[in-house]
This record gives sequence, structure tokens and C-alpha cells, in this order.
Amino acid sequence: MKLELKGITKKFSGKTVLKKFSISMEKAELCCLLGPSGCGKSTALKIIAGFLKQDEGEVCLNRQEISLLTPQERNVGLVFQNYALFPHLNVFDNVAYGLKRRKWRKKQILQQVEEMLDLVQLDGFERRYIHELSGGQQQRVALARSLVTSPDLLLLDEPLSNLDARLRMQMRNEIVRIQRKLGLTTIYVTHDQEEAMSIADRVVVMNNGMIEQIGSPRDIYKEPSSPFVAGFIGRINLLKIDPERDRISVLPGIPGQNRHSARGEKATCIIRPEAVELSSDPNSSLHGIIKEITFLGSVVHYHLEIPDWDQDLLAEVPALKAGYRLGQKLGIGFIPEGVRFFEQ
Amino acid sequence: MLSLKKFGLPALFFLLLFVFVAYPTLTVIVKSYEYKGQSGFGTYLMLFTKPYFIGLIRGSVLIALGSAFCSTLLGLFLSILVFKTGLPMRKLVLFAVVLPMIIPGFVTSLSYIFLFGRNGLITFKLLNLSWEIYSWRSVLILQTLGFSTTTFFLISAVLVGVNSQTENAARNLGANEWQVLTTVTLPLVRPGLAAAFLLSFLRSMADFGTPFIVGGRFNTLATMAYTKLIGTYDTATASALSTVLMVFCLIAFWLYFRMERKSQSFRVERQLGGAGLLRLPLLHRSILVSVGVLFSVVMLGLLISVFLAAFTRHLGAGLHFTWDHFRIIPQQGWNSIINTIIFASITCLITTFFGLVIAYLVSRVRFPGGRLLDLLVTLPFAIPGTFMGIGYALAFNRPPLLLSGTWAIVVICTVFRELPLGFRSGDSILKQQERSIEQASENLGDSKTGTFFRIILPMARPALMVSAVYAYITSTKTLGALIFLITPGNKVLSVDIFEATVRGDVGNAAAFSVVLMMIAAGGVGLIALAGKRTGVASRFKLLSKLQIG
Repeated sequence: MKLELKGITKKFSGKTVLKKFSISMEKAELCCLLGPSGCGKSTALKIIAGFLKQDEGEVCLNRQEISLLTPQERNVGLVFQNYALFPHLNVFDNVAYGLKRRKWRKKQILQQVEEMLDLVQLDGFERRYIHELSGGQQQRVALARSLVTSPDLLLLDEPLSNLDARLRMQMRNEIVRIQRKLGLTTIYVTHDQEEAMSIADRVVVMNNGMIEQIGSPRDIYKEPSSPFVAGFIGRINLLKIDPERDRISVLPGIPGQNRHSARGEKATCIIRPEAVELSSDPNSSLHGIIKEITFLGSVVHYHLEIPDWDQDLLAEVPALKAGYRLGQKLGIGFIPEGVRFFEQ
Repeated sequence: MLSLKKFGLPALFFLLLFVFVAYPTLTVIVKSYEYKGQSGFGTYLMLFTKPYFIGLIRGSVLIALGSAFCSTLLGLFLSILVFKTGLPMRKLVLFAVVLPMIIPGFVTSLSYIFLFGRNGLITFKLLNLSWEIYSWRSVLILQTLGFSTTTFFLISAVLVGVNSQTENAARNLGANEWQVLTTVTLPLVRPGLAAAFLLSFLRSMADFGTPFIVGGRFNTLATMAYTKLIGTYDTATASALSTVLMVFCLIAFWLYFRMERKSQSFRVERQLGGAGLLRLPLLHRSILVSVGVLFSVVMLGLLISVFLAAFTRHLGAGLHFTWDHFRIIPQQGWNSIINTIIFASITCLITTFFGLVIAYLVSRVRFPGGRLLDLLVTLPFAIPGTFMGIGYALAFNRPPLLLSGTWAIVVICTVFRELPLGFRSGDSILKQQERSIEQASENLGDSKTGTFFRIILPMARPALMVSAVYAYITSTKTLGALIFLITPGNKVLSVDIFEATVRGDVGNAAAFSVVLMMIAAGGVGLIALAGKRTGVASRFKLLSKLQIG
């Protein structure tokens, strides 16, 4: 099912929460709306589901404008952040709810519900009540409930934020597995960039109601279109380049920056920590002293103090190669692929 | 290490509860085991074999079931109207539903008679009808109206807690608004409905004033107990009737208690979302609105007619303004007014403070018999007022505790009847307080007692104010328990109103009622002031928890 949002704008008491928001989704695609709290991603979901009406713009499902349809009439699967399961019904009745509203026959309902519970690996749980289930199990019931009516589109609103880290990883793989199996067009809202990167076919990075960038996880990471996107995904060192102050205008090993310093322009420079190369080379043109070391398991973070710079540099080194000590003076170099310049 | 304080205080409360709750209760039960002056089950035999008494029991239960059903339904309609639709008359209905809090049952009975009685303003003067007002039908109508406050608050508290996200989930799955209401919202409100039903049943069974005033030839266990004791001093029969009544009340209360415990696990997650509105179809909305408007009109009518009855006199063709009915006050009524205010004030102070102390002991201090204390304090909830009244009258009319005829017995009786309320509110206040704050206080060196007075009490003050004023209002309305304990020296307004009504002296009764309502309304005004600090939500929650008794 093809979903298109064209120029969606929504205001709440004077504040514009979505500004001309437009995306076009392909069939069977898993698209993540990623952004900080308040960026409008949940609002976009509610507009698609029909709980909010947009001020401007169109919502088209398979080329049909659906904005005038009530939530009941849209065949859109929705998994809420807190699951919104029915506490007075058991698992079976929760999952069967949508089918009962569509007046399916008992036998058909039984079959379909069983199939769904099987899909989410909850067979045997039919008679349990919601409060008897763990967080992960409740999540799966919510998922089964949304899928049982074979919706045209699946919407998930931060479905995993209530789970602990380990369970979150397990569950997101589950969700992807099911999504791929059913070939369901899916929009997944999250503020967790690692989550978005690991499951999305495409990521839509949002900020303040607007789209910053749309692209595959790889493209977003390697070629962010703005400092915001770069900073939101992964870690960065953010440097302000000001030729007039002539301090950070020269980064050893980086060809791109010469353009800016040659033209005397100000620029913003993003350096990925893993693009910082450390060596004991005394002839290096840039030196730094290790101020702080953080051991993170597979990598080590070094905070380096660099004379003449007014900020520290964060370097990330694989743990197996990292053996430097506090206070040690090291030579610094950069890998060009991990450095980007943005005009101000 | 068990200090004297730890042991002493609970022991003291146990003693007091035993003397002033258990002892009178047992006295009544023992008295009922008497027949024509000799021990035996003769009285009970009579009660369960003579058709008159069987009919009495059946009548009481049927009316109680009827009132419970009707008032629960009414409370539900009003709750939905006020909280689930966006209709503009919500404030009016809210005002109307709060009125029974300040207008006691026996006063609404009075208004009812004034409007619809044989010489009633509406039935006789306006419509020239004559119908038999004194019957079980009137009891049913008045109880339904009177209990609506309780059912409304109980149901609303649960209704408001139904997460709108859950209702949205139902919409997303294809349910229309009516289906959302019936398949999701109402099932989740069921605990509130059951609680409302059980408590209304209990109150109806125990109700003395309304059936006595408008029941006519219809009698209940409560009214018959009064007649037997005051009329023929047949203590055995009165006690037996009261005991049977208490058994019904205990059963209803036990069911309610058990259900409350069970519903803890069922607790609907109250989160962001709050009460969502339902967009119901026109027909349904019209019905709700009609019910709301009719209810409001009736309640306001009853309120206005009290004033009409108090300030007018019927002469010939019309009504004329007069102060006559109030003239009785300087002659006979001052005492009652002063007594009412003093007794109610003392009661509310004692029950609120000691209710909190007992709640603190039960929940924070470990001592043997904690659960028993919990039970003993809560028990008077289930005991009908008339039962306690008879108990006090019989138990304390001989040494060593010769209290009858004194003001002390009136105050003590009211205190122990209201104590469960104070305990309940104290308990609920403590539950909401962060334990860690008390622990911080103790960690910094304060004793448990110091913590209680310096930390817990001040933090609880706003909420305590609400329950104190509620206790105050309820004390002014007490009738059933006090009807057996009042003597010319220590009268209270509720009994004066009752006696005047029974005498047929509607004008005087109404005048006293106006005074009583002003005293009660003053109390409600104080809640509003105190409530400004705590905010509407917690005030509301607390009010719903206090809806017993």
C-alpha cells in the first residue's frame, strides 16, 4: 500500500507542530520517523490514524484521500506507546476485538486469532489477562491485535520505550521479522537513533516539525545533510571554523577545508570520533594530551586537550588497539571520510 | 524493642474501640436473645415465622435493591453526562448532584411533602391532584435522589481514570462511539458500579429518616425498631430487628470490601490521556441531557421549596412572606443550633486527627493486632445508625458507664460513627505520601512521633481539611443514631427537624432546615477554600473516597 503525505501542516495553540510535512512511502517499506521529543513525529502518526485533523495538506492511501474518514473507517494498524490493551479482556479477546467489530464469524475469528498469536509466539496465552503478562508479552499482544485485521498500513508509536535494553533489542528484531514476513508498509516512530538505524529501510530525521533529511541509515550516517542530523545520529565533534581567528582553520590530512579557509568563510566542521587517528609520531603537525579515558567495552574514548583549541576532541579507538595513558601526548590525524564541512 | 508508646497507644485505642463500639454492639445482640423477659430465641422465631415480620424484612430488602439499582443508574448517567460528553450544562448538573451533601435526607423528605403532599404546592394547589404520597414509592424516589451524590462520585472516580488511549485503540480497531462506551468504557467502570450499588443498598437498609417520614404504612427494619423501642419499650424486638438489619448491612459491606481488595490488581493504568470525550449520537445525547436536566430541576426545586416553606405561610388563596417560622428559634432553637455546631466541630476535630493517628499506627508502626484494629475502626461503617443508637441507649444507661442523658453520649456516639471516615481518609492520605520523606526525617534524627507532627501532619493538612469539613457536614446530618440518645437538655437540629416534620409542623421544620443547611453550606465553602491549595483532581479523588456513611 502506497502512503503519501502531502504538505501536512498542524498547529496547536499557535505553535506549529508540523510544517509542510511530505513523505511518500513504498510498499512493504519500513520507514522510521526519528527525532527528539516534540519534533512532531507522534502528531504525524495521529493524523494518519485519524485522531487528529491536519490544518493543511493531504493524506493519501493508494492515491485516495482519507482525511475525511473517521478512525474507525481507516484500516490502519496502530500500536500505542503504552500498548493501550483492554485490561478487562483476556489476550484472545483483545486480539479478536477488531474482528468482532467487523462482524466476522466465530470460527473465522478463532482461526485468525490463533494464527496471529502464533506469529507473535504467544500461542497458549489466550486466556491470560493483561496484568498477568510481562512487558514484552504485552507488546506482542498489542502487535497481534493491530495485525489481525490485515491493515493496509502499520503504525508504531515508540512501541519499545517501556522495555529494558535487552528486551528492546529482542523485540525490535521480532517486529522486523514479522513486518518482512507480512510485507506490510510500516511507519515506526522513535527517538532512539540506534533503534532507527538498525531496523529502518529509510529514516526520516525530523526536527521542529520539519524534515531534516530522508535516506537510508547508511546515507544518513555517512552523508548527513546538516549538523543537526550529524549530531543526532552517532557521536560527533562539532567545530566552528573561523578563518579570522585562524585557530582551527587547519586540520592535518583534510583536503576539503582549504576551500573554506581559502575563501575566508566561516564553517561548521563535523568530525566522527572514529575518524580521529592517534599516534606516537613526534612529527605530527597536531598534538593533544589525554585528559580523560572512558572504557566502553569494545571501544575506548579518549578526551584530548589540544593547545590553541578552545574545546576538547573526542577520539574513539577499538579497545584492542588502545593502550594510551592519562596525560600522554599524542599526534593527531584525521580520516577524510569521517569529516564533513557545512556552511553556516 | 517495643516501647511503651508503641504498645500503649494502640492498646488505648483498642480499649476505646472495645468499650464504645464492641460493647454496645454486643449489648444489642444479647438483648435480642430475649423473649418476653426470658432468654431464648423466641424473638427471632417470631420474626421469621410471623408473616408481618417476614414481609417487613422482604420489604426492606426489596426497597434497598430498588434504590441501589436506580441510584446507581442515575449516578452512571450523570457521570457520563458530566465527564464524557462536552455538553454545556455540566456545571449545572455538577451543582445539583452536590446538593444532597448539604441537604440531609430528612430535609428533602420535608421539601417533597411540601411540594407533593396532600396540601402540597404542586399536587394540591397547582394541579389539584390528590394522591397518596406516603408510600414505598416515595421512599424509593427520595432515596434514589439522595444517594445520587454517592453513586456519582464513586462512579466518576473510576470513569475519569479510564485512559483515553484505550478508547482510541478501540476506535482504531473499528468500534463506533457507542461501541467504545459499551465494550470498553463501561466494563472498565464496573468496579465503580458495583461499589455504588453495594453502598447504596447498605444505606437504604440503614436509612431511618426517609422511610419514617414518607413511608406511611410501609415500614422497614429500621423504622420498626424505632417504633418498638420508643413506642412500647420492647427492647428485645427492637434489638432483634436491628440485629437482622445489621446482618444484611454486614453482608453488603463485606462484599464491597472484598471487591475493593480484588480490584486493586485490575487497576486501570491512569496515565497521560485522562478522560476522553465520546461523540455519542443525537438520540443518546438527548436522553442523557433529559435525565440531567430533569434531575437538576427536581433537586433545585426541592432546595427552593425548603426556603419557600420556611419563609411563607399559606393564608387563604396564596403564599405570604413571613418570619413566623423562625420565631421559634430564640425560644426553643438556640440550644439546638449551638449544640449542633459544637458537637459537629468536636466530632470532626477528633475523628480527623485520631483517624490519621490510627491510620499511621496501622500502616507505619508494627504492633500485634494491627489488622484487628483496622477492622474494629472500619466496622461502624457497616453498622446502621439505629443499631448503634439502640446499643448506646441500652449499654450506657447503667453504671459503671452511666452516660445516657448527657451530651457526652451524643458526642461519643457521633465520634465513633465518623471515625471510620477519618481513618479511611488518613489511610488514603498516608498512602499518597512518599515514604522516603519520612525516612529522610528519621535519618536526620527525628523520632517517629516528631516526624508525625513535623512532617506528616503539615504535609497532609490540605487533604485533612477536606475530610475534616466532610466529617463536619456528615455529623450535622446524623439522625438515626441520635434519635435514641437525645434528651431535652442536649438537642440537635437534625432531631428537631425530624420531630417537627413528624408533627406536621412543616414551617418550623423548614426554618430549622434552612439554619442547618447554612451551617453545612458554610462547611462546603471551607472545603472550596482549602481545596484551592490542593487542586481539583486530588480534592475530587478524596471526596470519592469519603462517600461512605
